[in-house]
Amino acid sequence: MTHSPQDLALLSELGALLRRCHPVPADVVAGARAAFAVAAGPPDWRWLERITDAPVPVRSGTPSFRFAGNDVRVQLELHRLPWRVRVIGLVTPVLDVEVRWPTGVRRVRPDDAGLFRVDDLPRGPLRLVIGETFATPWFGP
Amino acid sequence: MTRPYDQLAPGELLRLARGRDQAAWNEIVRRYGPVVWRVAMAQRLDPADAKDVSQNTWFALAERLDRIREPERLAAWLATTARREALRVHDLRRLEARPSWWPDDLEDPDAECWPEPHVLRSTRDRLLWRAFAELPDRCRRLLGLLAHAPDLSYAQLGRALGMKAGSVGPARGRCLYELRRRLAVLGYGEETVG
Repeated sequence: MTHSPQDLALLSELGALLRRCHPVPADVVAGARAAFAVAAGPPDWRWLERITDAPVPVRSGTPSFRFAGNDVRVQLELHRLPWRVRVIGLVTPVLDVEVRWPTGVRRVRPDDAGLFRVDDLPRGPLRLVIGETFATPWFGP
Repeated sequence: MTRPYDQLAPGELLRLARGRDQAAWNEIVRRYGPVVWRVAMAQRLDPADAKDVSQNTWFALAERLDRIREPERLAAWLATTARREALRVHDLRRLEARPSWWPDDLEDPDAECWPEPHVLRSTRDRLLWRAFAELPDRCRRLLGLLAHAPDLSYAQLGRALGMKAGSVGPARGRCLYELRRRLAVLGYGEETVG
């Protein structure tokens, strides 16, 4: 969009003022900076692709996700509790599952059928690493 | 001679970030963080949801650095991605049971919040802030985003804020007029009021 020099000067002054008066919260900036290192993952990871583009809400808004690739499949539901999240999933073949978030990780062993459940996860983006090798992209609530 | 990161064009920053240069990424966050944040907040999500939207948007960029074909449109890409994330979260929240006391329409922080005195460095700052804070909500959202990303097209602004593209141009003119009118009443410097 082209602006007149007067408009541009006023917008520029407003932008500088807003940066000082209403800065992006420090934890949001920290999360955005951390996303860079966290998103890449180690080079030996192999990737699972998300099967549906958008989470499909089931049962009063519980989003579900499916990922597959390299003969590994996982489907899961995200249950949002106030301020925390619970993941319930089914993985085939049955391999250990890590649930990762930008600043932490929780490891879980599924039952014989491949069912697993992880409680008390923080809100925000999550990723699964299955069998220490097969990683999903980040997905959100 | 190496130029400071804050003087590099978006294309150069993206190229460095693809080479795993964290400082280049930090500059992208510094430059465009307010765009992502303002688009997230414009959807009237609660702050925790807006933080999720921002985080998901930055992860999306970090995972797609190789696929950004038009670096000069990075601000537009981030604004569109943040808007899509915000709508997705907004739709999910609508399906959830919320406590009866949960506000339907959260306050716009620009409207009520008066910044700490030390950040308003001059009389000009105070007058501009007051004039901006008194604008209608729709104008604050539009000018607040435009102030951080003046290169967005009407169509891109419309997509980011959920406005019809045809209404963005007239709204922009009206909002700038309203801002200037308030500034003039307050006695703001003529040279910028224009």
